Amino acid sequence: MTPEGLNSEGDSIPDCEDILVEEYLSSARIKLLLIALLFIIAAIIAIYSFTIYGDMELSYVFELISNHISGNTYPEYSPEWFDDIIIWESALPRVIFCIIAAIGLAVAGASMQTAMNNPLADPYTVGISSGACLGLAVALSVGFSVNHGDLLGINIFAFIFSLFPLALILILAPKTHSSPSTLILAGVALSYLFNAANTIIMVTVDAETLETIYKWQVGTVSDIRWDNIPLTLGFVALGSALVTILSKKLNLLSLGDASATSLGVDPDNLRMICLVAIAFIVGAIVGSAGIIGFIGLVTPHIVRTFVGSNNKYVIPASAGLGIIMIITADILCKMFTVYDDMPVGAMLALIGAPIFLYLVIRRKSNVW
Amino acid sequence: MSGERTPEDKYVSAQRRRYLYIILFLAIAIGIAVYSFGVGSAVIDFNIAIKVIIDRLNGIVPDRSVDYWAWLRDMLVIEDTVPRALGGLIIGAILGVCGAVMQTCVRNPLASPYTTGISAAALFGVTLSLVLGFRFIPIPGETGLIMNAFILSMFPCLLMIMVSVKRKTTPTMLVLIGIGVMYLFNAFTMIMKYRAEPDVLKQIQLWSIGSLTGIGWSAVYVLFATLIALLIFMLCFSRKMDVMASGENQSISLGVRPDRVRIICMVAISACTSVAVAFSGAIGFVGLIIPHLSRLFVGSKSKMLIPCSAVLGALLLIASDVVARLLGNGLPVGAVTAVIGSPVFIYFLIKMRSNGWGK
Repeated sequence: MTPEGLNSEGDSIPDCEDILVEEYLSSARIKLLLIALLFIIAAIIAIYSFTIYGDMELSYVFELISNHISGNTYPEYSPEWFDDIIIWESALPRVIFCIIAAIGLAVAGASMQTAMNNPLADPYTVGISSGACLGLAVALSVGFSVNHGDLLGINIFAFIFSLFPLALILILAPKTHSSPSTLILAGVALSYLFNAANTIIMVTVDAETLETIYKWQVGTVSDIRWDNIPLTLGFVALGSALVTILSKKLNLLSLGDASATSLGVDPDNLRMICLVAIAFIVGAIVGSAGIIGFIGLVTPHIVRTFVGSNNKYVIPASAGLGIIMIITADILCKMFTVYDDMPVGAMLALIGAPIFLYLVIRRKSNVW
Repeated sequence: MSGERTPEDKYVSAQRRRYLYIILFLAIAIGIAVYSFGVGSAVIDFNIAIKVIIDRLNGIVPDRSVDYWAWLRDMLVIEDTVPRALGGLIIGAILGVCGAVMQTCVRNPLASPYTTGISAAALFGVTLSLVLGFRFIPIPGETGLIMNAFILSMFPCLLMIMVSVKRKTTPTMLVLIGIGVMYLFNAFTMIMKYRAEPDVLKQIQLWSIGSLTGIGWSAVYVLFATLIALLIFMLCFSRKMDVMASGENQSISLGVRPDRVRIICMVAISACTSVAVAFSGAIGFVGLIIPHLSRLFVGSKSKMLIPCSAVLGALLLIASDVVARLLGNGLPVGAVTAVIGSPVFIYFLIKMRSNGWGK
């Protein structure tokens, strides 16, 4: 994420050189095509995934869905009735959630890396995941929660906890020298603190609760229901829209704070707005599905090897690639396990890490 | 104008203050280590522990058949608490130094000794042994486990060397390779854990948090040799590291090849971290936060930063171990380091109004 990286992508159009303008436009066109292609592949995989979740023909899945929408019901306990439940109550929310989560995490990751000017930053850098984890651990071990302690209540409880670390950072930031590295350090220190509290709780709970917390720490989408969708969708849509609107200004941040200031952007404010948007996006996702790693950290890096480091392209392309990766990983989880209990985070890392390593080592030029 | 201090005076007094900080931290660390001899065991308090050690130094070794209790106390102190305290000091120092060097090498405040994927690889080695019973060197018991962790944790190191031979490496690239390796090994571990028995799971979890139990004299010798080698090596390299940290172009024009220095330093600290991780598990926080804390006290110059990180790392780890043992319950030390360290770190971050990174 150096100034050179931006220039070589032709982010600033030279005023009179027609050829350069032409070149820039054609490379921009190629990038837009690439992004469109990613989303088409994502759509195909998403549709195909229904046949895996329900273990049935694609045409039959469409028939079930269209029947459900048009209000046709099946006789209770008939095979179609069961299939309808599988598709409508389990597979559909799961796929929709995967799409929302992938978009949210990829957008959050790409913007966090730019805002912090750090390739090691990920959506969880300011401690969102550790806060959420502590929320879950408290809810499960103490039994204290909102909404009568049902599953949705626990999810909301974790979401509320996930915002604590950022709130603390917002309180602390004016008291410190508020540069990206200080924010990162404060975030890391806070997330270690929350994690430590979580570990202390985990040492005391029984094996069954431990397994639930553990599974949640890796990230799993197998328990997603319709209940989870509205909250997540709302926050992810709002936050992602905000970050996408700010993407041009975010580009300026990667030039360094001094240059950004001279170009009319207040870096500290912009960074804080981004952090809040990211916290709400990620908190809503983490509250429902646990800490799905890899996507937020690695997808933007993979995308940068293809489209350069302009956030105008990195953010949507990350979202597209994120959807492809998470649904593919979830399908593989479902295919390789009998009880559908493998966390999607593990599979994501297993297929994604070798690709990522290959790209980093093979890549000739350095976009960062 | 006799009251005016020249810049030279200021430098000298600042330097003297830095040495004082280091000596002060070292004294506190040793004090806590001595105090820790009497902590955590019901039958031994501080006075008994000191008496046993003085007896040993005078060459008095109790005989089991003559006085069983004296023998038992001697065993507990000499074979358990003393090596544990020494191990804690040394591991803390190793992690602190490795963290400081790693952060300087990749110029990233988020880097830690585990950035290259060492802890993930070592954890996979332990998981292999615990779940599948697979060992690279077929020795039963702890030693085989430690060897498993050590051998696999050398993998990120080898990968870095291989890449750097073929291509010119940049800090970001090394960091990204580390992330890739970490995720890969974590995925392997997760997949093995997924079919593991609950008690094995608990063992793996404890190991991934890190604890100082079971460190014996043989471990202390190995760790001590590692620490001394690391300190000598890094202090010899400290000048070159500072040049490297000033930026790629500057360091080339000053006659230091940054990529070469970076790889040599990273390989060296990876090897030392592997030793520490193999004996204690992946104790987090120390390697990440201690260098930052040291920067607040002594600045970013490697010659001061490295010794200061060593003594502060030792101080934090031994203090955490004492707290963990006082709380009892088999609480792993890795869970306590953050509880003690985070508030201290945040306090100094606010108080000093700087982060020691000069930006």
